[in-house]
Amino acid sequence: MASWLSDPFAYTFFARAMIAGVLVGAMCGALSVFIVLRRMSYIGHGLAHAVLGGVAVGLVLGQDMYLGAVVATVVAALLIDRISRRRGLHADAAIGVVTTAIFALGVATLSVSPERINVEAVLFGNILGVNPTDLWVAAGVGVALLATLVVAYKRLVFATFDPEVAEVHGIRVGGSEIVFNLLTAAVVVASVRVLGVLLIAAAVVVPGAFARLVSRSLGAMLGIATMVGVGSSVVGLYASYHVDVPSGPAIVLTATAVFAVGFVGSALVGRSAARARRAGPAGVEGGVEHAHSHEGPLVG
Amino acid sequence: MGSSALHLDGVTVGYGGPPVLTDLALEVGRGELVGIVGPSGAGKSTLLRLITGRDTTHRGRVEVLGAPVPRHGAPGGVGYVPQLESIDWDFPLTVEQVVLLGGAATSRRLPWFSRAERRRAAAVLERLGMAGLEQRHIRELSGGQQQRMFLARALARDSELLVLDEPTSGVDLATRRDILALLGELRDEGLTVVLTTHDLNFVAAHLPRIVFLNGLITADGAPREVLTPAVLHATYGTPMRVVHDQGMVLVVDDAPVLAPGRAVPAGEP
Ligand SMILES: Nc1ncnc2c1ncn2[C@@H]1O[C@H](COP(=O)(O)OP(=O)(O)O)[C@@H](O)[C@H]1O
Ligand SMILES: [Mg+2]
Repeated sequence: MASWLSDPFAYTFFARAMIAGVLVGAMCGALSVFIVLRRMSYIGHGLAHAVLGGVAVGLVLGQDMYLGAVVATVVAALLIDRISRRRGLHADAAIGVVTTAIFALGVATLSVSPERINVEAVLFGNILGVNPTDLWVAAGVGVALLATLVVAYKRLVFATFDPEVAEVHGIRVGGSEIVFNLLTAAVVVASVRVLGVLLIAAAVVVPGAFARLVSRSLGAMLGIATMVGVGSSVVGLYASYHVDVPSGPAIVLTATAVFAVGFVGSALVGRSAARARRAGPAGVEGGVEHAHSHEGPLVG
Repeated sequence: MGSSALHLDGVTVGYGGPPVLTDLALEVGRGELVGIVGPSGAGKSTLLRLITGRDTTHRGRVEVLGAPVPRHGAPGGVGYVPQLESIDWDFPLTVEQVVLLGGAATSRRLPWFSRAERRRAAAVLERLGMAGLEQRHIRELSGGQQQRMFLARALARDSELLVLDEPTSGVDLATRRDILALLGELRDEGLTVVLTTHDLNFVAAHLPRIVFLNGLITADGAPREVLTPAVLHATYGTPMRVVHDQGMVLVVDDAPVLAPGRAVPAGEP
């Protein structure tokens, strides 16, 4: 068992992948809480597809993978913001229009290009390919995310909970949305190597969804989602090494298993709590409505 | 700066189509308690958007607390209480956290609030009869408590003008009275209060001043001056009768809705 855990570290690539995985897992986990609360689960999906377009065009033009990815996601994030501000359109439609177009551009570019690009690695993640640049990118984005969350936390929470009132109370809600979308874009770009374009969407949703199931405290949700993100990266990378599946699917399946346990577990806890309430004395907590307490905290 | 809390002159707003509010003129002095009253779709919420600085498309002059509303961004000193229906009550926040967020824009840039801010939030909550509920999840509040929590949030920044959209809709009669009494007290403490309502008898008739709105201002004054059949017909487009009883004004629907003589089936109110 111990060797099962330690052996892979004999390879530099695995150690690098593990560092990248932990960073990416933490970032995606923390971010996923806000993505779930904003009901923007599709943004990860969309921006990741835009990454493929950017990477493809970038590589064909002989540029670094990250340059294309950054340009594509920033353009996508800003276009999504503009289009969703048009009356009658919402973010979901904007994401659908913008990011699929960039994805299509990427696929078209790949098909006419004479260059051979490892499409599978871009789509599903490739731990063999983690290089020092990837680690620097992940670390840099991690620092930026942490700094932004520290500095803008209250404003971001207010703008997410009640944008109308936040605006009146002096928060620049539009600006905070743009910052949030750009941050999401940065996290998506930093996650491509480990998770792959097609699987990032899950990484920026599943940990937050799980945290929401088991906690009703925002602080606890952030902690839980970050841990789920890191934990699924670690478990997923070992699985990827030993079972020889790509890292992206292994990590996402781990996170999804955690979610499934949380889903079933919180339903069972809710049911036994309801039974205890029916059996026990009425109005345990002073007669407030308890219609929703089955969602009550397991943690925090 | 003057004594005016609100000054609107020649204000016209539309959402791209025909104007929702046309050539509005309105003056509200500091320390007034005013109800904007009208049928749904009358433009009440739109008027509140204007005075809370969330509309950039209007023509005319809008001054709030003595200063023109900025083109981008909200006027200072305004606390806003939204309609309860617009809120996600499952959002993971406690009562205290929601109140503290009211002052987030001027709070220091760290994820947590200072002890002074928390003391102040507790004091405001206590002032509004919410002591002891600080750590409740917002889902576990009654409608009246939710309304008070939002009032506390509006007061958590140094508000001089309180703006409330339908603060009495969706709460029971006793709560409606409590909220009105509370707003009266806040007015007595020096705040200006502007609220909207479509409830003529239980809210509007108790306010010191009513502004009737239906695209334009159809009447403006004390209830006993403006609660007249003519004004009501102009505002609601349907005939209503006004009954005076022991100094109280009561508005009743004039025309029977159901055909006379039809038996009311058992079980219907
Ligand atoms: N965002 C919007 N876009 C287009 N029309 C709107 C918008 N908001 C309100 N309206 C229209 O403006 C009119 C007034 O709405 P509103 O101010 O919400 O009225 P009230 O609050 O009195 O019910 C309505 O006809 C409504 O359909
Ligand atoms: Mg309204």
